[in-house]
Amino acid sequence: MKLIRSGHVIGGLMVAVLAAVQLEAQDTITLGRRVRGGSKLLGKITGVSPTEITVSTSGTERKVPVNEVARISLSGEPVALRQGRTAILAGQYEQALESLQGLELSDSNDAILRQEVGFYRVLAQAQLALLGGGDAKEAEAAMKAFLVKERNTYHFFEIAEVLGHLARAAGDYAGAARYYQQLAKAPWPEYELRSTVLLGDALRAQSKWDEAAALYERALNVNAADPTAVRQQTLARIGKAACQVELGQVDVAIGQLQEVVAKNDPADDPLFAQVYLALGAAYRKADQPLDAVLAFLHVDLLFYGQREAHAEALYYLTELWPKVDQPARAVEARQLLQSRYAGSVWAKRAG
Amino acid sequence: MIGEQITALTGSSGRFAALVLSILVWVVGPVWGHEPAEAFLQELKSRGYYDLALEYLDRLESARTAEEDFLPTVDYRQGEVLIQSAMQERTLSRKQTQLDRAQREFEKFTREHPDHPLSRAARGRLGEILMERARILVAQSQQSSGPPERREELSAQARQLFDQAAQTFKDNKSQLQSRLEQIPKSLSPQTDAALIKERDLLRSEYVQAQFVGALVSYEQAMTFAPDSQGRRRLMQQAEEAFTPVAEKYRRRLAGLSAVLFQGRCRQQLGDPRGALAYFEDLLSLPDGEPLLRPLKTKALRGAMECWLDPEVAQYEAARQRAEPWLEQQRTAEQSDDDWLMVQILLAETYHQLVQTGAAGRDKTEMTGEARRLALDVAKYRSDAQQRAQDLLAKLGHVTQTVAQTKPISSFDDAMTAARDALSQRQVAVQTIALLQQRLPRVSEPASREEIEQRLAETQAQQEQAEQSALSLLRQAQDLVTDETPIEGINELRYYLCTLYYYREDYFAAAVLSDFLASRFPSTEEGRRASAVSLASLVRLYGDGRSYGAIKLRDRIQRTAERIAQQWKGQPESDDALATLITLAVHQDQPESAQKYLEQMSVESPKRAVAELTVGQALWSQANQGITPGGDPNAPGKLQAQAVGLLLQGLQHAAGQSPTATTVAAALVVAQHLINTGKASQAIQLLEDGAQGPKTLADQGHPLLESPELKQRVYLLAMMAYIGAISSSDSADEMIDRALSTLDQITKTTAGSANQQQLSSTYVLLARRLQEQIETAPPNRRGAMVTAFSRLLDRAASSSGELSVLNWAADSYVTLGTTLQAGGSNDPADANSYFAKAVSIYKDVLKRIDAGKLTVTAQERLLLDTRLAMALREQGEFAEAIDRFVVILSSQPNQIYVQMEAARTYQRWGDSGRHDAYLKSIFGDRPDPKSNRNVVWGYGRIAKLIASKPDLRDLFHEARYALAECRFQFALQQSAAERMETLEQAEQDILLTARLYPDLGGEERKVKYQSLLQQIQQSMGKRPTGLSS
Repeated sequence: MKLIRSGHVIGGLMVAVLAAVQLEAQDTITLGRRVRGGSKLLGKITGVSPTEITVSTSGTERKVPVNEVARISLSGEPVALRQGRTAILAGQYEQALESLQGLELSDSNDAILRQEVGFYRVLAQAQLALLGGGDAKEAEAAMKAFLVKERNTYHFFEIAEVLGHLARAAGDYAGAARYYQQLAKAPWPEYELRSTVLLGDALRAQSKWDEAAALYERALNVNAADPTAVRQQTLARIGKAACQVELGQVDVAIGQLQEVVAKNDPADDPLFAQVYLALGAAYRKADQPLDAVLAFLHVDLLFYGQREAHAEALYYLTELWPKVDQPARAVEARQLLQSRYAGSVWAKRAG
Repeated sequence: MIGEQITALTGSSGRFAALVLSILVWVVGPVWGHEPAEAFLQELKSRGYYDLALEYLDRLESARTAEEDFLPTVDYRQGEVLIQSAMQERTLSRKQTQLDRAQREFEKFTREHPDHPLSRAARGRLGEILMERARILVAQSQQSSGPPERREELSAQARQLFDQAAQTFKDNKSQLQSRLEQIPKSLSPQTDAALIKERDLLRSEYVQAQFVGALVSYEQAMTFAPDSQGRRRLMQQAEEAFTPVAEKYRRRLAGLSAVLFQGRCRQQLGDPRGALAYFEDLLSLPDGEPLLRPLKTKALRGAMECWLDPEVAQYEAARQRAEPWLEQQRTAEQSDDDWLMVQILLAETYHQLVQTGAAGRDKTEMTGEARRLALDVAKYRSDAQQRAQDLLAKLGHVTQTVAQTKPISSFDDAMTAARDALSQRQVAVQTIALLQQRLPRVSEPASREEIEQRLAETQAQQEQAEQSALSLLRQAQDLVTDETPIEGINELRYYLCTLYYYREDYFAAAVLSDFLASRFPSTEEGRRASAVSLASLVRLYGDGRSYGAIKLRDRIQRTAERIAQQWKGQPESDDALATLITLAVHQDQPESAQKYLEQMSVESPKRAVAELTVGQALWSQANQGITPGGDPNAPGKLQAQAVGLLLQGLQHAAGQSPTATTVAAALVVAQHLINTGKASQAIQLLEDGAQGPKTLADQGHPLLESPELKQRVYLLAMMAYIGAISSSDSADEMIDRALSTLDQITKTTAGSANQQQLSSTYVLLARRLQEQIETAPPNRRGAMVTAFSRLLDRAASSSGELSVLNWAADSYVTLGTTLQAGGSNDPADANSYFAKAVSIYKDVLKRIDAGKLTVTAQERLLLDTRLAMALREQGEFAEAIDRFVVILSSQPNQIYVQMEAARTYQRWGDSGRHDAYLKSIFGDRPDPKSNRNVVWGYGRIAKLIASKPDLRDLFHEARYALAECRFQFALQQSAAERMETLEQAEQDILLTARLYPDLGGEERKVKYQSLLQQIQQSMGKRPTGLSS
């Protein structure tokens, strides 16, 4: 009895230890904050596809749609991968690349682990290229090569978007459109909206204001209730206002943008960076340099983490400061632009 | 937190403001609106974009995009931005403006939101503003270049503001106390956390309010002159106010700071030993506590001052305390004012130890150490910098410039070494100035030789330091990388352009400094470079004769206008305005100069010179007379305006050393004052102790070396003394001063070729006197005549100078004439003056004839004529005529003398010798040879000059006198003869009217008309006058 009892105790301890070991060995899927409040799903990732991740939890297989996934971490993943991923999320692409480049993986490694490392490598490379810190063509080629090799990656749509950005940055708008259109093939409405918004952005980059505005309008006419979709519509509203500025409807655009400011949470840095860039452009167009400076300064002082937007804001500040009799501040802005975003389109434009 | 507060209070007020802000942020908590207003505002302020922060708040208020909670606080936040901006502002006038605006914003906020949680803080801020404004006035008073009264006026205004601030802090303290009393004594951390938090904050604010209250008294005391009753009384009051804070809160930094101020109060009360007790108390605190470090440094500074006080003179104690403290100095503390002051005080201690022979160490080593410390201090802009440079100059030359020990491998290395080299250059320059001042006073050859040798060595060191600095700055240029901060690059540019300027490469200096000033106007370097830019351009312009000078002048103008606009209210702007004023005056544009002057700050040291320059320019313009078609009153107005400016300029220049400009201005103003009957004020100005031209002339000041200028000064002084006789209570004193000045004039003009001018001035003096007597009230007139006569008596008897004698004689004639015209009861009065004049003229002529005086033919003619005229006035007609005959026999064509002779006959006729009227008409004294009359009479005079338009006035005078004489003669004739003469007289006038219808102008026409009517009446005709 005692033995049995002891055996129960020992058995109980064993279960606890094993459970602990099992917990350590599990993969983690962090769900998107907007969708599932940032909760985590533990289990063994058994398969991935562009639209879903299959995870086995306590012997039960579950398919998680990719649009609900914020990120995954793999059991026993190398520290360098974790560091690289964290650096990318913080916008530290050089640091990410440094961590990931040192990782040596062989075929014996888990396929998903290889995919993750490969993806973050090409992503860091691409983001660096977008900020002018690397070769855009090389980055595009690397990304495409990755896609060829890892056709099932759950990062497919993310890769499509980044490839679109790379093509747009290189002035290949048709190519950009092709990539962005891929997003619309996703089975989720917000991806379709995202595709429309990005296509609008590409047209806007070509100064096709009417066509871009029509696309944004199309995105706005979709009946969306999901917060992610609504956010895409807000970005469409910002894009449309930016077109209105160029089409001479500056006052209307400013009103729209102020409404976006009034109705959104300033904690959404990417969105607010875009609003203030558009507001800055509107005031610049309206020949209100001081208001334009104030708008671009929001990006410089509050949303500088949005690196591309920050570079753009610095570029315009370089131009606008002298108009408000502050040439020294223009020099400071230019110096920051050149030192932090050397090689970016904005730094090159500033000369 | 309170520690920081107190540190801020005892240190820079900017940090204090930042701290209060942090407290408020803590009280209010982050306010997130739809528009991220709070965060954006915070970032704008932390970048120093105060201008934009204000614009942003204005826009928020009108657009109302911020959250509801934020909007009511906009006024408070504007006040806060303004106060922070004011703390950073260097220029007092701008600081003042911002504080004024901040005050309005806080007042508006407390008025509109009395119950808002920020309202109490706003009231506290109002007290701070008052205190800061008082400090501005104190600084203005210290920096003012104006007279002592102006400085005292500013100090008095500061004291009023300190009073108001004290009252605000007192009210605030009462409110804090009453709120504290409302909070229950016993609180539970679990249930009353908010109340506990509020109570702790209130207690801190209460201690702070007590401390600040005492601080107000201290700063107010410092506005009084040292050793004055006012300073003593308030200093004692401050000491009493600091005592309870020091005793009650010794465990808080507030209490320890109060101890520091107790020491400072003692020090100010002339008790360095008492002060030392307090400072020593603080110095005994443990060393490791970071919050106490600044306080201990301040205490050491105070203690060092006391140890070096001659009354204490404990140099060794000072050395022992300061050396270990300085050994543990941190890099960030190197440029701190208190640390720098401790350093220079230690250097002075070494110097004292060497001087007094009390040095325990090697004297050379100690002097070297003192020099090293002073060199370090001289590198930084601080209160101690001048002291360091003075000490370096005193310590003598450095045998060799400090060798560059560290290899240059980075921008920072190069800049540090360049700063050292520039500092060495500065010391060399100062030493050269000192030696150059000393040299002229040394006559002993060996000493002179030593000074000259040192001078040469120091000049070589200056050159070496400049070359070294230039080379290091160029190295720094090469070492600039993308990471080099823009501030560093701008500092490099500033040093370079300054060095180019020193080395007279004005073109390079102008280019670089202009770039810096125009591209970085908001930086310190940009602001300072503006001065280099303008100075370089002015140097390139030189005397304005070089090729391209016009273009350069335009560029100077543009640059100066930009600087004036950009740094409005700052010294650079005032310097630029001074340049613009000079340019405008040189281009003969006094109105523009005046506009620039209006933009210049009142307290600017350049203000005096600018006012004087513009005043002189306006004076010259006024003296150009009326422009065709212009306002006839314009010159008068302009003159008054010019004098006003000149007076202001002289007031602003009071206390400064006199210059050629101040002397010239004082003379113009004195002249104007004399002309406008304000002789007493003119005397005050001329005799001013420091700047008065007469004082300077008496002292033999180099500015008045020129005999002509000296003479002008004395003449003006004399005119002023004479002018003041009528209004002075002591006419005798004025006469004495006039006579003494007369002696000085005589001395000054001895051997001068300026006698003619001097004579004219004497004539002017006589005329001025006549005017004075004529316009004086009847009851004073007699006294004035007597006083002036005494002056003349003494002048005539004491001087053998022809000009003085002439002046005296002329003045006697003037006096006599004035008495005659004024209807003196006793004709003998007037006659006595004429007699005196005659006597002087005769004496002068006698001396001339005896060869004792030499005169020109013209002067001789004038003297003879004046004598004859004086004789006429005296009634000695026969002798007068004899004198005229003598003159006219040799010079018959002297038409004015002929007129005087004719007038003499007329006056003789008037006196009863009726046949003289005929002689005045037809002449007299035929020349035996030609049988023509030597004296022509009015008839011939008129005939001979009728065809001369330039003598038309004289012609009419003669024609009128002729008719008048005929009429007067007719009146003496029998009835039978009379009619014919009257008809002739009538015809004389009618004929003149026919030939010359304008009759010499309206005034004379009226006279002709009146005389003609009298003649017609005497003929029994209707007096139709000229219309008959």
